Amino acid sequence: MEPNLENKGKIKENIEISKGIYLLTLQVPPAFPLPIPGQFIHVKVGEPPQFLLRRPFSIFDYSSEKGELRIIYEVVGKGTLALSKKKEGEELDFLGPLGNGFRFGDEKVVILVGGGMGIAPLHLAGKVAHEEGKIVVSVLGFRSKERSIMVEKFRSFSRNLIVYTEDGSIGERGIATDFFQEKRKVEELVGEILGVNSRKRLIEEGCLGFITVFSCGPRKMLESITRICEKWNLPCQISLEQFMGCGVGLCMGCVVRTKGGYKRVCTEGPVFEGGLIEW
Amino acid sequence: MVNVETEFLGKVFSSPLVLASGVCGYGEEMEKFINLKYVGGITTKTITPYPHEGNPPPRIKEIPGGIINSIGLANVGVEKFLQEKLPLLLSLPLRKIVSIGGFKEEDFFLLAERLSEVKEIDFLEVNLSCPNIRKDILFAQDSKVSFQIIEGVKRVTPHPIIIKLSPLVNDIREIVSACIEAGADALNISNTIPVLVLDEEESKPLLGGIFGGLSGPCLKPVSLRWIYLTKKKFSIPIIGTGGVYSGKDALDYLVCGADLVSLGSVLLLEPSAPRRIYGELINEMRKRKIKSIKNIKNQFRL
Repeated sequence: MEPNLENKGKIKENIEISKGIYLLTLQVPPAFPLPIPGQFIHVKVGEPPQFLLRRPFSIFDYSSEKGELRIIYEVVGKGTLALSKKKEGEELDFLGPLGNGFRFGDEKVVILVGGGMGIAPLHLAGKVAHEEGKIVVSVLGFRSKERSIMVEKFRSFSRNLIVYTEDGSIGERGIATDFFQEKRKVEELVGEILGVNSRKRLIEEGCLGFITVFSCGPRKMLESITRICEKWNLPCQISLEQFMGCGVGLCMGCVVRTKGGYKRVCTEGPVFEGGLIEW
Repeated sequence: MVNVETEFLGKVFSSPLVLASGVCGYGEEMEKFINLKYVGGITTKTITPYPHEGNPPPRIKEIPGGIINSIGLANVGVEKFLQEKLPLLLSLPLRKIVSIGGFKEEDFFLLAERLSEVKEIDFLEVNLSCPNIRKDILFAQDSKVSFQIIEGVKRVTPHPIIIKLSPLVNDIREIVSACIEAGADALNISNTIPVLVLDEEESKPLLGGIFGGLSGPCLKPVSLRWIYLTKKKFSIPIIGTGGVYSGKDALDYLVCGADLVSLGSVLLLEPSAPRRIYGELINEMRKRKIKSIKNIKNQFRL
């Protein structure tokens, strides 16, 4: 049998949802495996000699009934620019789903912490968590109202949705990690969600023990989320990005430094335990 | 009928296409990614005497004309290779080329000796030209050092050895002459070009290892020239490497004197490339009424 790592999918839609930010919907082949939230696809954005490496994109959304996969991306270079020019009906060559996604456990509450384009893998994670009966709290940070994207999508599965913008043009002024400034407030919120209202009981019943944090965004944000979670003893999984070569673990190009040495973002990641990363 | 089966150092290759070192790991799980029917041989990632974690990230980036990388010989080391990687590699139905490298001359001798017992290895590739380990002069840029390494390796291994040369040399024929004198059986021309690339915003080195190696389309004309000049003077077998993205690229290498053609960067973009390039090569040969690889060498040598 031919190795079928390379998928071909028809572009159903490729639209600009905010300035320079696009949502691309792909029709995936019938044999496409069900992606785990946090996994990515490795997209051939053009032909050589102009384009020599694929570009990795987190899976933003997936519908197995429709066989549709969605990514969101910002035009930041010639690869994403070329992708933004692709039209409905064109065929896209992509590998995937690749990598290790978010790992669900017996947590009752999933707190998603996303910064900017980092909301991409968290969307599918939140959607799946909600479908599995978990309570989702979304904390999203953007630069400004103009840069805030997909907020309503997150609202549809989130029990609580908190939006921050750096200029305060929508939601609260600040950054996503501000949500974690006061442990007491987070405890109270989780207590309320779980129906535990006395602070004493809250501590006794260890409400924070029912939480997992999933995060994706700028490296600095991920670092501070990881540190907060370590301090509060919360499990925390983060999705990292890195310039990538093959995407399938062979070239050793996309490594990040971890406490256990260099690890490949494409294979051991892109989702890692936050505490594992050397910042 | 076009026949692409060929012979290299007395061994039959079902296809003149081989997988270059660095893009196919140690051959594990290769069938999942690449249809091996279309390649005659596989070259492992370069192995060093001890596990080596490689250079800090970022390690790879596309730039105009090529790809820069600074992996820095990240590998599991020879002992783990022998225990964990080799059995799978040996089960693959193609020629096995094990690439060896190091940071000092003795590393090569140690590796050659350690691998000498594994009879199923077809060739050792002696990587004298990794641009990501020594920041000034590569082994392959110094004919005396090249001679010493090759002579020492040859002394301890029964395997035929292929010398992986650098394109960044004054006159490759001086290096080749030293390689042949020291006992090299074949050459691989060439490797990535040592480079320095700065980022857009801050004009800082783009790669974590500061320097990198440039591969891809820009490398092809450089390698072709060196192969052509080498084959005019010496009859030593050559694997041609650099920027092969099509059957025509592969044919160009064979026309210039390469005996086998290696696929590297193309696999990062297109894991199924061997199949396409194999088909295209056959078409190119058919168009030109070339019946066999040997035929190219006889009829179309420049």
